[in-house]
Amino acid sequence: MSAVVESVPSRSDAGGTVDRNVSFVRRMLKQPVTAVCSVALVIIVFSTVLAPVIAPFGPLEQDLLNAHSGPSAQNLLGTDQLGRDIFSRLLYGGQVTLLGVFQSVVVCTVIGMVLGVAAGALGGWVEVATMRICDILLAVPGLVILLVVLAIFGQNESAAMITFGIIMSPTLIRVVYSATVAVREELYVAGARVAGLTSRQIMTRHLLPAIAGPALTQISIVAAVSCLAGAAIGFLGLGVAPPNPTWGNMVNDAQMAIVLNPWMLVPTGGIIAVVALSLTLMGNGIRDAYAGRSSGSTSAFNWRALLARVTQKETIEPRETETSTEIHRASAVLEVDSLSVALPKGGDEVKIVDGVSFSVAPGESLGIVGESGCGKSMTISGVLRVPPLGAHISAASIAFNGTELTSLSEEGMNAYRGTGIGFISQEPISSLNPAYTVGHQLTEAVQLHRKVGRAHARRIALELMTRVRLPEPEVVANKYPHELSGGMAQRIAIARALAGEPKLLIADEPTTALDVSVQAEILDLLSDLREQSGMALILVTHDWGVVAEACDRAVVMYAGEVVENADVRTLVRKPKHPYAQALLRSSSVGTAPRELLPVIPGAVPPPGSWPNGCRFADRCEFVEERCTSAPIRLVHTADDTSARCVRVTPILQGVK
Amino acid sequence: MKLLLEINDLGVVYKGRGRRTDKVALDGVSVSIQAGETLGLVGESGSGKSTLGSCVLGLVQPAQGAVIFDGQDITRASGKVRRELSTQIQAVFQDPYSSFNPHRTIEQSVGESLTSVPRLSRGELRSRVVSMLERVGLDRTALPKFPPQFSGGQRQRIAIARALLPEPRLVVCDESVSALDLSVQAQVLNLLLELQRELGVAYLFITHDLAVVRHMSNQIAVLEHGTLVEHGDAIGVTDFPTQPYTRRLLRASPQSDPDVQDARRRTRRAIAGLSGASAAGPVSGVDILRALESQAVAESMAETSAIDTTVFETALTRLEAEPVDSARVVELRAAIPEMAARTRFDGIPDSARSAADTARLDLCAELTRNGRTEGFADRCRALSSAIKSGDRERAMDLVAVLDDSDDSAPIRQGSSRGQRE
Amino acid sequence: MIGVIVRRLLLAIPLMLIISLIVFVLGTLAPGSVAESMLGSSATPEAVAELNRQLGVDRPVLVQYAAWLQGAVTGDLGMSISGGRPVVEILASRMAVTLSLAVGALLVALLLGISIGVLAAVRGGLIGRAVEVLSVLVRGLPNFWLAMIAVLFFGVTLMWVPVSGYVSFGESPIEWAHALVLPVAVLGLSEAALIAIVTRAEMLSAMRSDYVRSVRANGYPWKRIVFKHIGKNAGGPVMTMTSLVFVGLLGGTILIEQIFAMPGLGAQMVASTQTHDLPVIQGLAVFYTAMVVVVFLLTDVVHGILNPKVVAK
Repeated sequence: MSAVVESVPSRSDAGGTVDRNVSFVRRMLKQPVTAVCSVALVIIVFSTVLAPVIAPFGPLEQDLLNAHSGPSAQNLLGTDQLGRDIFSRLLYGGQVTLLGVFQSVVVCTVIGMVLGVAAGALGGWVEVATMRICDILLAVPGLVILLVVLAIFGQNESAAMITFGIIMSPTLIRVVYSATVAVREELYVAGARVAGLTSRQIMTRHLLPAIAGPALTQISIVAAVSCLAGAAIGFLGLGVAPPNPTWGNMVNDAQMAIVLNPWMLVPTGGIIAVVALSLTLMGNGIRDAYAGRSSGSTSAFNWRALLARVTQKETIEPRETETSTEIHRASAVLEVDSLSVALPKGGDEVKIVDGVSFSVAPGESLGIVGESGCGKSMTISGVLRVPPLGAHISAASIAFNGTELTSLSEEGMNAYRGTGIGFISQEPISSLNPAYTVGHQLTEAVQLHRKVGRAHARRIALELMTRVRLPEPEVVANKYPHELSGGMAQRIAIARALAGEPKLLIADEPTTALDVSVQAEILDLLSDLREQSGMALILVTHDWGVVAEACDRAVVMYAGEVVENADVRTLVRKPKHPYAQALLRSSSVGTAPRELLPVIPGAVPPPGSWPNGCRFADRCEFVEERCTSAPIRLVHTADDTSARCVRVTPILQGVK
Repeated sequence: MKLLLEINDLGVVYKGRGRRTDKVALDGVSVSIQAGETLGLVGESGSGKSTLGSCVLGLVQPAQGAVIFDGQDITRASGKVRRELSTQIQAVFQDPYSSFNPHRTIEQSVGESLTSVPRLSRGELRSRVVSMLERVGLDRTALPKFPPQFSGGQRQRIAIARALLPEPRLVVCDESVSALDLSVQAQVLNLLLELQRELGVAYLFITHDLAVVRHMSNQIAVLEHGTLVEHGDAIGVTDFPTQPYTRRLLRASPQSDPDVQDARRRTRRAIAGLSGASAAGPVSGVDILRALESQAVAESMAETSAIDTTVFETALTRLEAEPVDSARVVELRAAIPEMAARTRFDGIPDSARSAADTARLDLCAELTRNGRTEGFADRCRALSSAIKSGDRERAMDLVAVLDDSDDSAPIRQGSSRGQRE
Repeated sequence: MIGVIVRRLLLAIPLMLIISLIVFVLGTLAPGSVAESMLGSSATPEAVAELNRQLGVDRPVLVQYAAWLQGAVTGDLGMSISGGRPVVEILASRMAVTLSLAVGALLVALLLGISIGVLAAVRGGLIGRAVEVLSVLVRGLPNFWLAMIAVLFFGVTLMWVPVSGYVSFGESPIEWAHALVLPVAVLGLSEAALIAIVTRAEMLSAMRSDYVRSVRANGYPWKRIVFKHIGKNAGGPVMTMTSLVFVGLLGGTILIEQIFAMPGLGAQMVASTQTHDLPVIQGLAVFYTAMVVVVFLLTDVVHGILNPKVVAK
């Protein structure tokens, strides 16, 4: 359904960090590691191909008097037990080993691409059969089968490496298959079919570019593993027989002389390590270049990093809202003063929420309304301290029932989360743990928040399920989240949030993912629960209908700021801020059909590009000079309304 | 007028995989679109509305029925025929993020819809793409850019440009504005309407949003679980629906008016209470009647609702001319819920409806018995004038005290008389 | 859960059949016959044909396979060509070495991998970075080479552990353990990195999920979130990785047995490969596959317990 997700960071990620104008190859080579690896590989491949030209000695040329010598000017990498030049033998040996890698990779690539694309694009029995074959091949120990093949075909290294390519193909098939399926589901492929493209055109324009990245990554890994497998065969004394060199049997030679001449281990194993490592690193490079992110971007992420930084700051705005806040202040359940949330962006911080203040009285229902990118979800993430990675929260004060939350530690916060403030999120099913039954999860929440025994908690959990009007609680309790409808899952999430009997429930777009008829039921349920328990509610939404239905007061947000704070009736009938006015007008509800709607030109300015003055100025029909010169203050008006507009007082005088 | 698209008895079954059973997505649906008009297709998730669009686009093969475009049966058209059709039928999808291949430029993506047009030079293609982009409010600087560089609203404009580039006669808009914010949504809706007027293109407009579909459509078809439940002109279906499902949908979709929402919720609760499903305890017919009456007034006062006070006014005038008896009072009172479309049709269960009717008869009989009919008539007149003058608070007050025994107190006679004159 | 086990078992049977059939058919494709290699190059064609008839290899492939299968079911995998001993006997005598190695290494990999993975996911910083670097190294460095360096260092230079050989558990448990330390460590450590990567990646992706945000916002203590909620969800993919790690580990035992001169199945496999002893190789391949099947079954069961959604599919 219409999931209007407030996802500022991910959107700016998609738009900002990926510069699609730079070609894929150039992006890859921009990574120093990948560039070095590519160069190393190219040099190694060319040297082995040109071995007869470059090598100072023949591969079998012996010098028994000079056996086991270390590196010297004559023998760059020393000599082996028969006095043969290790450097030359490595060059010649590489021909065998790298040819094996090539054979294996070609076989694997052909099988992987053909079967992967076929399974993904055709579906049906082809898909089922291919996936079954993959399952079987994945269970085959590769080296064992290699030995079987070598036993049967003698010392035929090519046969072994081609077989290895086949054994390695299932991982590539799977990668290609899932990339194909993902693309097949993309709307732009449906669009291409609607546009009249032939299957071949869709394949070359849309499918191949999309699977190229993941496939190349996997192929480079296959190459690395093949290199190691080929070396292993040689090491075991199979494959190409001595005295002809391969990288593998040279390691075997080194093992024989491990005590006598440990040095031999270095160049022989080293070259294998360099090639395999380079291939692996190139695979990572391809993956990162394809995804358009710098390598190692996840290394900063961990549980600790998830815990937000919180700082307490001086209040930035002189308290012009005093009259309203004074009233609330004494009794407010939650009072937020100058809350800001900033997210990291390219070493810098970008404010998503900027000095937001509001308060909620006991039993009151407060709506936070605005379009996506205005920071409404981030505001409550800031209050509950569960923002995205790397966020920085600062506020003059976040007071819950008179307790200052900003100065609390994460553990300290937990004393209030759940028991003081409950939370339900937008996606009901994914907000529940897929691995536990809903009954278990509810019982757990009750146990945690009420400190009761398991059996008692289970009883309370079933009562809660009845309270949120779930039919047959006993049956539903034994189901997993994915077995429930969205509406039922949201009821469970509400029950979980109620487990701690919170004084305030925060709901982040609780009905956006649901059908309208289910939405009405959930909103009714929330209202009823509020009446029964006297708990306050903060409801984040983009839907004015939901605000009208379920809220007493509402805070309108625009570009990270509160632009209006008013009683819902006043807000809907006599909005003071031009943005609220225009937004309500542009709704298609109840308009004359097929007439043009009055629209607000332009779009919400994204975080980081907010002007100094009024943030709505360039879309506002009443814009004046004083609007853009300095930040606009929130002005409190007679009917307990605040608005962030220079025209507010005149408007008021005109009306009254 | 000539039918551009005719869908006859369409049925679609999604084959279940493994142990999953087959799912009937569409079952015997017949609708049609006239050239240059809009058919709105509305329903909740799983109603099959998107499947129908996919059938028209040839993305899904129906199990039965026919899709006839401009007299030509295209139900199972494939390959060459379908490619030729691509200049005639186009689509704008929901998600502005996955609608474009992130690896291709805007020029490549938009120009794609002219792929099947033979012998189009590169320059010619580019100039057509540019003029279409300009038409949707972008310019030629967009050509070499990639989709991630645009916002959701801009992408949806580009999607519209791509769809309209080959000058199609039908565009399937599948939840085209659902992912957009209110202010951007209005812009895109206007763009679609303007383009329809200029180019005479017909839309198959698929959405879950009743307000949007009402705004955009000439005809509306309502789908539920794959079957067509209601079909008619847009105003008829949204303001005067005949089917319980349509009514339920309309009742559930919230309006941005708190009074209306309050009143609707009270009605919902009262009805739920009658069937014993409410936590608030037992409910009588009187509660339902009062809830309906206040909802009717609330809906009438909200300028956005479809209202019709003629029955109420007629009953009032007849009250002036004829002696006030019990039958007249009942008639007058019964006219109150008739004022607003939503209380007239409100998909009330029969039990609730009859409970309200009985309560009305009882209350009116009591009024007559106690000789308070005149006071009641006065309050109704005051109500009428309050509605006409748009005095919302007063109207809501009045409807709440229709049965009040103290005839004078809350009416504030003077003010009401004054307003009437 | 029993249903899952039964279903996996039913899948395992065709798997075993297919693998054994492939190995068998491949065997018949071998240039030269078994008889030729047994009798040597001086044998007369008549003698070869006679031996072929005695061995039954002149019959159609499928008939031979059926006969082999019949024997396999009753525990008879044929006779070794070179040694003349029954294949089953060879397997039995060498099984303990390989199982000790493989199971030991798997335990090391699991314990170490999961601990490091969890630590990296929770603490991040240096450990997180180390896991990323390790992941690349493990894929890139040949483990037989690393094993030799370990032998050189711990065995030759420090002389902490024996350089090679194997002592059975029955003979002396202490020496058994002593002999196994280095090979198990080498084999297990490299695979531990793979498990650590998957553990960390799965935990991190769970940390970004909506349900973790929800339980955090509802005041669950972090230990409960990490070890219970995230742990159970990350466990499934870790189990899948474990089964794949085991497949790789079996290949590793062949090399490790070679390096440490341990009389296991892998050493036998290499020796039989050199002598083209097909019955032994067939028997070994089937036995290796059987081990994989058992481990897949176990990990599937654990996965099923951890994630009910998999069972539902």
